[in-house]
This record gives sequence, C-alpha cells and structure tokens, in this order.
Amino acid sequence: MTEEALVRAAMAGDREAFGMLYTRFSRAVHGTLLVRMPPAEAEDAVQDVFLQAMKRLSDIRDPATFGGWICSIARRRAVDHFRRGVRHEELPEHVQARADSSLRAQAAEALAAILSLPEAYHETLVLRLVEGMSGAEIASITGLTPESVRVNLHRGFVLLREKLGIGA
Amino acid sequence: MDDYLYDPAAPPAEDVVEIERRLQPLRYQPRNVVAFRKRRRLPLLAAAAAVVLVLAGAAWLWTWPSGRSWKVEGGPIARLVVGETVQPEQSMLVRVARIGWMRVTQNSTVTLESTSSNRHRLAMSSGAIRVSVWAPPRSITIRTPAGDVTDLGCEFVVRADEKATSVDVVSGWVQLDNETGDVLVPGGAFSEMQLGGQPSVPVFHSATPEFRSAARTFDVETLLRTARRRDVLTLLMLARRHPQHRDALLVRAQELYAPKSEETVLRARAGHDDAIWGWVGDLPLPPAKGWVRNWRDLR
Repeated sequence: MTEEALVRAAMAGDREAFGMLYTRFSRAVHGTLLVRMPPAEAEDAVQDVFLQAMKRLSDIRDPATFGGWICSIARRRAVDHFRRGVRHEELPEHVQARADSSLRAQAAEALAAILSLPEAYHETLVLRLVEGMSGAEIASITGLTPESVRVNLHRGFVLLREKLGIGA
Repeated sequence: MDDYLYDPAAPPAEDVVEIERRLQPLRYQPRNVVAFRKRRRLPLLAAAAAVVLVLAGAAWLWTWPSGRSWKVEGGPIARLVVGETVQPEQSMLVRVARIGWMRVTQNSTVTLESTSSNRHRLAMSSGAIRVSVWAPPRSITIRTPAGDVTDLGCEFVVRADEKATSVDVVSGWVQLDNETGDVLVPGGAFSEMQLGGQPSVPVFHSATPEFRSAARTFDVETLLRTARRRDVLTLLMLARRHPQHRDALLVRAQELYAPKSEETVLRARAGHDDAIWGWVGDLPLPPAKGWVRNWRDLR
C-alpha cells in the first residue's frame, strides 16, 4: 500500500494500517530523535511520537506527507525533552555508561563524531549511516531537495571520515 | 563513494560500509508495540469475515453527523448541544451519539466541544462523569485541566478539578496524556495526573493500600515488599520511569509473573524498552485493540 493509502486507512481507524506506518517510518523518527536526544531515550521516545501521531492523525492535511509530518512531531518531542533539562552534551557519557559491549561503545564514538560536525550534517548523516535510509527518502522527510541531501551527505562524510581516522 | 553514500542500493563503498558497521548497534529495529499489536487467534479469513460483519452491523451505530447534539435522558435539559456548557443541579444521563452513554454527576461543569462519526470531544473543568462507549478506540476524548482522557474501547470514570484528574477504568483501556507524557490504563486500574505533572503509572484497585501508597510516593522498598501478582504491570511501568531502580523492580516482577521468554527479562533488565512492552504483552490484560471483546456492560 502507498503511504497515502495507509494514512487514509489509519485516519479511518485502521490500527493495522497505523502499525504499517510505524514499521515504515519508525527509523526515520528514531534518526530524527537520535541527533537530539541520548540513544536510550530516543528509543523510548519513538513510541511516544507514534502515540502522539495516532492522536493527531486528523490534523494531517496531505496524507502523502506523513513522513515529514511525523518527523516534525519527533523534532518537537526532542525540543520538549531538551526543555525538561536534559543536556545534549551528556550524550557520549550516557551512551558509554550503558554500553554493554565494545561495539556499542564504538557506535557511541561514531555518533559523537557526527554530532561534533556542523549541525547541518547531523540529520542527513544519521538517517543515512545509522538508519540506512536512501538520499531520496531523507529528502522526502526533511523537506530538503535531493541535491541538497547529496551535498550534505558528501561534505559531512568527508569531515566524519577525517574525524574517525578512516582512509578514503 | 558518492553513489553508495546517496543510494544504499548502489555498489558499496568500503569507507561508508565501515562507518555503517560501527553505527549499526544504534539502528532502530521496528518492533511490535503493544498498542498496535495484531492478535492472531482466529484464522485470518474467519477474522476478516467477523470484522466485516461487525463493521457492517455497527456502521449505523457509529455514524453521527458532525456537530449534532447528544440526547439527554433523565436530566434538566433535553439535549447537550455542541459549544454549550452545562452544570446540572442533579445528575443526568446523556446518550453519547449512538455509541454509549455518560452519567454526569451533580454540579459537574461539562462542555460538549465537538461531535462527529469518528470523534467526540468533551471538556470537563470540574466534577465527575462515568462514560461507557462501544466503538473503535479514541472515539471520545475528555479534556480536563490536567490533561486529556481518551477511551480505547471501554467504560471508565473521570474525576477532575482545576488541579488534578483521576481515572478509574472499569473495562477496556484508557489513555491519559498531557504535555509531560502519557499512560495506558487497563480495566480494574486507575491513574491520576496533577496539573503540569506526568500521569501516574496504572495501579490496580486490588492492590493493597500499602502498595498503592508506595506507588504514589515511589517508595521502592515498600513496593517490592508488598507487590502481588496483579501488581506486575505497575512494577514494569515504574521500571521504565526509574532506570536507577529498574533492576530491583524487574527482579521482583519476574518473581511474581515471569514473561514467556527468559530473554525478555534479560533485555528488559539491560534497559530495552521493547522488552518491557513484550513483558506487558505476556500479562493477562485486555488487549488494547480488542474493544469488541472488552465490552461487558453495553446497555
């Protein structure tokens, strides 16, 4: 089913359709949260965002823009989190504290490297490198043009590779 | 490099793959969330046929023209009109469109904000109402000063004043939410929210007074000592909110009601929220979307 058909079905009360939207967009929501919140809390917040979205489904004017709409809810959710006093700078320590393996610590280090780059690169790099989304998918949910996404990915990746000491 | 970086379907670039590999543990794995979970107890075709029959039979019940008033039975007025605020001097029984009824107690202040086939909204600034609806989840929302109360197919009682709201769920599930968070409350349990505060975790009425009090003040020692089998949902929800006490709460929860898989416990104790929800799914609670079967009191 298309995104639009799923949204229309969900708006009509079809929970299975909403579940499919969750499956389809939860990574985009998670990536959007991950650049703004500690990973453990981002994971928790994904469900909060979808519950909020379920409540506000009737607010969507264009069902074809569900991805961008739910990611904007995720951004607001992260802002609320921030307002409640959790400092973004705590991220690397937080991740390392709950790291139960060297793999997780390595992931935390790579994420911290992304977040140390200029902000314009955060979301595109996380959505691509953490969540595995394509440039076209990133463009559709961020509102950037595909060409802007491509440029952000390329420039950001060059800086990231340098930070992590990975050869070209 | 550029092509693979933009399009993961292109031939992989070594340096991009290396960074993807490092970040892999952070990738989100979509999971079955309890609120959206599909139940598969009936063969698919039989279930589909049953759903079609139920929907066809009930379509008329759920249809309601946008903005139409509700009928009042046994009260001082004949109809509850959209936009109108009432404060009855005696309790009144109101028909909630065609999907149920609502008992508004004496001196409650209630405003019918909107009505339609999919959604009815009500505001209550003070007082108490008992609502019974037989309809898909989220058919009715009651706005109170401390937050919103939304049905997930059920019967429940809401009490509110300018500072706090409490909800006792008789059957089905109810959601309480405000700007600080939300909570799902099953039949037999209750929750409260103070103005500006997070809705409390659900606690069953069958819990001992000691446990109920300890849940309110988050007295961990008393919670662990007085918890009974029925209180496991409360322990699990508290474990989500208080990571520093997560381990103790989950160990006690496991003693009282272990989930089907030992791995669920291990992952829950390691802080994986989906494992806690999986555990909740193993508890003998009404299904969030099984509102048809939840209904016991249609009258």
